Amino acid sequence: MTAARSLMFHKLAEYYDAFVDDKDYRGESRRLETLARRYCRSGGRSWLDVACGTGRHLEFLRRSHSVVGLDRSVEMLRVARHRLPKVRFVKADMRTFRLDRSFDVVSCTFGAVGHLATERDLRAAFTNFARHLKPGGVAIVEPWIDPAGFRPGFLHLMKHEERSASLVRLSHSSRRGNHSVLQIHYLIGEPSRGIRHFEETEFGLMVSRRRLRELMADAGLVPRLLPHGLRPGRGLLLGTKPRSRRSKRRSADPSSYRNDRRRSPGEPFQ
Amino acid sequence: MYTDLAKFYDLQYSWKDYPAEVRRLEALARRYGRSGGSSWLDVACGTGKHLELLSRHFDCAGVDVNAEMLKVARGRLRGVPLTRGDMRSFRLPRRFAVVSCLFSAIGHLTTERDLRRAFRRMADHLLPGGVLIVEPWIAPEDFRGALIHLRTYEDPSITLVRCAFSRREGSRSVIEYSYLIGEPRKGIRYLREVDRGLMVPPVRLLKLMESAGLKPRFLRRGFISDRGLLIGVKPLFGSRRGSGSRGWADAA
Repeated sequence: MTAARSLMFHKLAEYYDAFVDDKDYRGESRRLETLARRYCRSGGRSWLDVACGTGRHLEFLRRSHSVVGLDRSVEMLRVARHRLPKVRFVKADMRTFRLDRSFDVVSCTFGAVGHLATERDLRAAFTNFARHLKPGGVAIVEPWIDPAGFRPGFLHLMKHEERSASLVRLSHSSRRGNHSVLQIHYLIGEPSRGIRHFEETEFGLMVSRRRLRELMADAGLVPRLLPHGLRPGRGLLLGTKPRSRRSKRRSADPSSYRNDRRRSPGEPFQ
Repeated sequence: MYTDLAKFYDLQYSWKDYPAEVRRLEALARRYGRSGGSSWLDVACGTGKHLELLSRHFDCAGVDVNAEMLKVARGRLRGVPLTRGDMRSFRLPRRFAVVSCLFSAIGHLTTERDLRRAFRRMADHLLPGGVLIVEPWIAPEDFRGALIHLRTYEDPSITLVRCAFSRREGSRSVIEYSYLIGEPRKGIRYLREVDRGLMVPPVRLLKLMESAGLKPRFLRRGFISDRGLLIGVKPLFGSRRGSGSRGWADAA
């Protein structure tokens, strides 16, 4: 889904919250907590939100958990830090980040994994999530669109109006192989600056739900697909890390990380 | 202007109540017209939405400067002669009981000289006793500058976004429009245009209308708030002050 540097998450990051102002972060966070209570067996209350963006979920999750946020956009993290000055935020890529600790819950929502360009990247990300989970911990991933449910030619209009700015995001979807292609136009109108127009194309990797389960299992997590996730039609993918000794071998603690793994630098979509 | 947008023009203004406007226009024509005729010329007729309704009761004709808009109008109207022409210089071989110029089309003119020419052209196409109905552009004292105005339209076949930024340059209004046109099969197009318009106080408009040889009147209640309507009646007899043949010469 990502062009070199997505406009939305970088240049337009200051407008991001206004664009998604109708998203129910409170309700979604509640659902995430419920799932964590139900599936997490590691006993603690630490939570890592990968691709945390401006920290809207963390704002709620931090009430019940000790949270850390991770994102690869400095601009988004700037907004997040402003919102949650006491929370630790890390600027890093979900495929390659290394934290010196593990968590009871690792979440990655709002289709953020769709920004990865290849299945190899997805595999790296899942393995990395697993690596940062405590035994018995759970990864909660809200996947990008299922290829079976993809609608080409779909126009999606988001708008937001307030005194200081009128914001419009209009996207059009098409398909190229396994990738969704979103052509996105933004209009940002401000009485003080006039109207600015931006355009970008985002590619998203569409992976079937079955394949996602396999990838999660390959990462050493016990996968589970929930048809009803945070948003209609998206579902959720859970992966619990076994507590048994046998599967610990696969990914366990950060120190077991093999340094020969390529760090996937500048891929075409990233 | 409107060249690429003509097809979508009517969707943009789907909020506009053309039947109500036409009822009012017809009432005004009956009230002020003394020519006894039933012919109507709509100048800057656009896609012909007013003419479509007016042509039920009047013998109509239309003029517009934009070929794309006229193309849409031709598809809509049967038996209504439509002519491509500039409101400052058009000449038709006949005169009309009513000439109208609506939706602030005169606001596209940028100098008082142009406005004067346009009024004269319109007046010259009136029969004696005929009535000119002009919906003016906003008055300078009512114009609020540095505003953003967003309008969107969605149906299964198209998504339209129009974002306008209006500001003032002296007595001119400057409106920058940014359009997004999204269609399922074509994707999204972005278009931008800038409209400059002269803002003239109603008092001054009345004077200009008068010098075109019409007996002017300003009605505060128009179709859009802050716009009002201008009515100019052409005298039945004589008194061709500043109009008539001079007007023809002026246009040449």
